[in-house]
Amino acid sequence: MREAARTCLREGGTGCLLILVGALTFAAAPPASLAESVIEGVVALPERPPPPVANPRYPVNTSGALGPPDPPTAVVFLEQNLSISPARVHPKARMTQHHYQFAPGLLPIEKGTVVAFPNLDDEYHSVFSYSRTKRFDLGRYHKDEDPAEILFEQAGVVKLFCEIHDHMRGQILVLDTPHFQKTAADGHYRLQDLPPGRHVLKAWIDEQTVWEHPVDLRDGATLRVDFP
Amino acid sequence: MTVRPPALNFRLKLFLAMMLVVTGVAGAALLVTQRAVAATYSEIFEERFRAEVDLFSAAQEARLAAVRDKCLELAGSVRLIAAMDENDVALLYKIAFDELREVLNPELPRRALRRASFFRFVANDGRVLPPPDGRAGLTESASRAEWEPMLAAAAHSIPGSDRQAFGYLPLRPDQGRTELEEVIFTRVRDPVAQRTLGAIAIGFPLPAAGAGPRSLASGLWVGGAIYSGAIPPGVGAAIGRQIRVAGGRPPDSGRSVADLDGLPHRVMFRALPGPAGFPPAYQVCLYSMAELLETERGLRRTILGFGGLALAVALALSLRISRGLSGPIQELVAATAEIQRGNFAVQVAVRARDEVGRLAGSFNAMAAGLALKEKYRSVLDLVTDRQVAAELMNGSFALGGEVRDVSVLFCDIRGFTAFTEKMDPAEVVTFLNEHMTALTAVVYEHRGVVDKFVGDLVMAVFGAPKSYGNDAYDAVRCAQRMIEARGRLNTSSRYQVSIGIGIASGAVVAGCTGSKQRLNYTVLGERVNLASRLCGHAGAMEILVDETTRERLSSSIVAETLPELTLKGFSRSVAAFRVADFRSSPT
Repeated sequence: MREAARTCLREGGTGCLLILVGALTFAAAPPASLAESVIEGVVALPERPPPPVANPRYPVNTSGALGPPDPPTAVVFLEQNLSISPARVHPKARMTQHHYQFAPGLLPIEKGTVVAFPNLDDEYHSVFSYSRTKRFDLGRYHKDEDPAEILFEQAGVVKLFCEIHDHMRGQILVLDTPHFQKTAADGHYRLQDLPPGRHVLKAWIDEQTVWEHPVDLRDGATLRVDFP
Repeated sequence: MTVRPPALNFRLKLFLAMMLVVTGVAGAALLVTQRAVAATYSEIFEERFRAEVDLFSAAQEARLAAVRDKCLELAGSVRLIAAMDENDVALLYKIAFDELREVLNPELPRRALRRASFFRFVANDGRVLPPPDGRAGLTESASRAEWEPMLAAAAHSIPGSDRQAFGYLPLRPDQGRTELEEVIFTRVRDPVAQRTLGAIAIGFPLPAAGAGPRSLASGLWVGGAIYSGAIPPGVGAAIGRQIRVAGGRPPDSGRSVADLDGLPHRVMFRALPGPAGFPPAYQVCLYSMAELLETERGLRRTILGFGGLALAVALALSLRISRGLSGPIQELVAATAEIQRGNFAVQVAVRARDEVGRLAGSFNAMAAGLALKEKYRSVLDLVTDRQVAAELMNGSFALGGEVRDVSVLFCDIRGFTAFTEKMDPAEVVTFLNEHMTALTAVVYEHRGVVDKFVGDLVMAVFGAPKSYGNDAYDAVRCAQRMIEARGRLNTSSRYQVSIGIGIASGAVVAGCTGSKQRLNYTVLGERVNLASRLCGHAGAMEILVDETTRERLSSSIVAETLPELTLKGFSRSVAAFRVADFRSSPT
């Protein structure tokens, strides 16, 4: 859609512009008469795993304070039945390395989002991912350097590792939908501004654990969905 | 019927006993010594095997320690964990080739580390992840289908507490040739997710184990085959038999004997730890038993030599001892035979003061005693009647006497006083001796006892000390023969005399009379007096008998009744009968 818009703008045809405006009106802007819906609920989160056994190869030897990993959380998102996503400008997301942990431990983004990886610790980090969704290797970088930025163009899970601190684990969940929210530590979530209609609501715990629930959103209604 | 074994002579018995003792002692010494030698060598073999085991472990540790560390590093690498998590096989092998390039890259110059023959990743579900290229080794191996499942099973069976495992895997890199691989398994585990992701397996060809020092051959026995430059395949079969004999659970260690180059060798083996799925592996060492056997042979020769010598000495000694015993014994046997023949004067030589010497001395004393006794007996026979002498020798007489029914015979010479009146006393003795000798012989012939000689008178008793049944008959027959003997003597001798005989039968007291120091066997009683008186009344060459005698012999003799006699010492007249002749036979 975005590509179509760009092509149209470059060519500058009025007819084309009219078609584009019509298309945008149909696809992205819901009719003003329909009120936004809300889904809220609780996701049963897994227990926090016990602290890992230290790897003797790289003992955790940090000059700064070692923070605890993020508590387990889930991402709840509405899977839409739209074949074309509306063109949106995504705000830049951040996956920091702070207290020798990825912060946040789990970052949900919409496809097309650029994520920056700022190092907030006093030591080098070397973040990489072998995930097929997005394979990259940032190499060693310090907090003084400009953080690397990566554009995530494919939906899926991206697992993050730091070669220097092998206890650090992070995940970026790249989603096809703008309607998502990470739960609070207690599992609560609230999704707002949802389009009415028949959808599937999913709760993503990890790669192996994804719950889903069909929802029929009515105009302005607030739905409560607990997982599982 | 029992068949008695032939009697063994003393010499043979002694020799057999000596042989038995010498053989027994030599055999026991041989047995004890051989056992001691075998135990000593067994200890030596054990000691050597322990040293060999230590050496083997140390060499293996030196060989593989660096690779083990490398594998642990690789398994702990966060990049490997990330790639394993992603299940990206190409990436996995790429990381491994990078980390293990020293052992995997054939193009790098050889350094301290040996070159691996293969390298594989095994997924947690038991799949051997296919390597992308030939650098992983053995990718073209025809027997991959055989060993990759073993690899997967072994990788899967690493105990949960261990990060690494080790085993031996026989591989056939090409047709016909079998090569033994030392395989190191390292578990890949994500410490953060606390999840096992899989394992790394890396194999190295086993360095050729050959003949070691001190006639020692060592090697490995894996899955029924022996891997060694020095041990023949037959030893593998021997160990295999032992392991099968041990039953279900293979033994941790063991020993047997196998032939190597025609020499018996002690085979010692111990189980090597290995993962499940791999064939059982044993470290095997062979020790030549030539030295042990040579020592045993030497000992056997020495002991048998000494045994033979001892046997010869024993033979000589037994000959000498038996001769020292059998010589005197044979002499004693000969001397005993002499004594049996009545030669009491025989004596044997006393050569030693031992038991045989004492026996010879005793024999001599016995022979002397027998000679003396015989001498006494001879004298006794001369001075008393021989029947009485026999009874005296038996000691059956006691003081006192017994009432016996006997016939008493008196015989004297008619006109003796007048006949000898003008004779020299010595001539009288000669004449009497001739007369008495002849008559005594007759008495003895008729089983009579010469009681005494009183001058020309002979007193004989029939029926005491022993009765022969018809004593009266014996007495009368004796009297008749005495008269005949005197008659014959009268024809041959210078002296012609007549004799008269009186016989009386009946109860008398017979026994030894006298003192304890001096005894005389005789008969006393009225019948004795009667016989004496009848003798006095008998005419020349006449036999007078009393009524009792005649009655007892009424069927045997023809007697003429004489007028009753009035005899001195008898209150009443006594009937007397002159014996005329004998009837045909006594009843």
